[in-house]
Amino acid sequence: MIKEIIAKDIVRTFNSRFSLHCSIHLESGQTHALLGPNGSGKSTLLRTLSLLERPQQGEIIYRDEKESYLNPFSDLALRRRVTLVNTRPVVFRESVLKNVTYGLRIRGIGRKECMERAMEALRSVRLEDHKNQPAPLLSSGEKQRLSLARAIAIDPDVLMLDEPTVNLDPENTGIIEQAIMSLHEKGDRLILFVTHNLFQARKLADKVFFIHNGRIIEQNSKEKFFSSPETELARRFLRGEIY
Amino acid sequence: MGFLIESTLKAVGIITSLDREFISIVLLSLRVSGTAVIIASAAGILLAVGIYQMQSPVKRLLIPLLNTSMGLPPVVVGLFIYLLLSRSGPLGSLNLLYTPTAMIIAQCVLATPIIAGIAHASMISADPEIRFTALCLGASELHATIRVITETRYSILSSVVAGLGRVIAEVGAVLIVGGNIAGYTRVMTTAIALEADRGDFILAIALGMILLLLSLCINAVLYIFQKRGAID
Repeated sequence: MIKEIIAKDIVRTFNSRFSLHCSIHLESGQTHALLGPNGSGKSTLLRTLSLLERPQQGEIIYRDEKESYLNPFSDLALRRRVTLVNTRPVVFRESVLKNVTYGLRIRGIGRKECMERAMEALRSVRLEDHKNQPAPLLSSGEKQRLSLARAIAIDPDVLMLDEPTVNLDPENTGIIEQAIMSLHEKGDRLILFVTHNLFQARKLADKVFFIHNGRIIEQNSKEKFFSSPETELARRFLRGEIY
Repeated sequence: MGFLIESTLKAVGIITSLDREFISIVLLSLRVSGTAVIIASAAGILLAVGIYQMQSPVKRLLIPLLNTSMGLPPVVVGLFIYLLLSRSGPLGSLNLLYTPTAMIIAQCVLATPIIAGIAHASMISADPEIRFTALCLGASELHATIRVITETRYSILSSVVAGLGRVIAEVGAVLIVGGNIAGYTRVMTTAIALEADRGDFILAIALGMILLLLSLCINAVLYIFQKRGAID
């Protein structure tokens, strides 16, 4: 089980106007919220931490019970212990059930176990009745739930979610939040999610990171961040003055 | 007008009577073009996947080259293959000139860029997030590419059908490298050219009808694939 992720001075520059330059420390058993205005580098940081995009500088260390892995971008076995759920759900042109079993099939998991885990994941997002339906025909909320079910079925050590409930109605939002909380209750998972929804961050997170212009400005426990933020930028963000 | 109707009726007669020469020409056409398209599909799809996965700057050169090759003039391809396979050419010792194999090679050269070009374009135009989503779920680079191919399967099948449509109606290359030898390398298109030249239109019309029918079938299949791709 992944115990912690440490990113030291990672740098990603896209153009002269924006660069991500930050360090972050994430621990298992915790749900971390990444907050910040649009264009502050949240999604870039998430894609980098989930080992899908390399930083130009700096290092990322994954640590489990046995050893540490330095910049394990090419380590497929380790990468398979991390899953990222994207903002825009992309579903494959096949049934809902086959979508959920995809991550399991490429890991060589047997058919019976695939089906059991897929059905359990579908139940956790209340999509079990849609299992034989073509996934492209689902509503956008259902597609986002399916996206989460695909990740849950894999049972990753690290789950990262990029705005998992953006543009969703309260019902779909509630189902997704419940599924994230259930995963958190397992006790040893590392969860990091990006959100613009401050209520959601309060509800789900243990720890909050506030990012602005590619820099992590503040990191604190949820209670402290929302009751007495340390920086003026975070205070302005919470007051809705920057977004 | 009467001549045209009379010739057409006689041509229908040739088709319904399953004339031996007529059948052998049709079967050879199907064998040559079918084999060429099977080989070209394997080569073209592999080429498309190779270019799709390529990270090198050479890719910028290869794509326009591939797109240009999609419109290769059949007579130029025929001439090139002829020069390669002729006695004095580098592959002359293989004695392939004026054989169905030479015709298959020429048609492969014509169909491969079409299949590769269309397959590559459909992979590129597929949602880039498909690949990213597969990687997010733990796919290797190979698995992610297979996922993209699976998602664009109908477009890729369309490319194969388009390749078949191109080669089965082609006359220039097969005439040059096949020599239009009766009973050996005479296919529908070369037979139509020859019979029309001779003024014997009945067999030409019969073969033309079959060619049109095949073309109709190919386009119907293409339409079904495109429709299924759009619906899914």
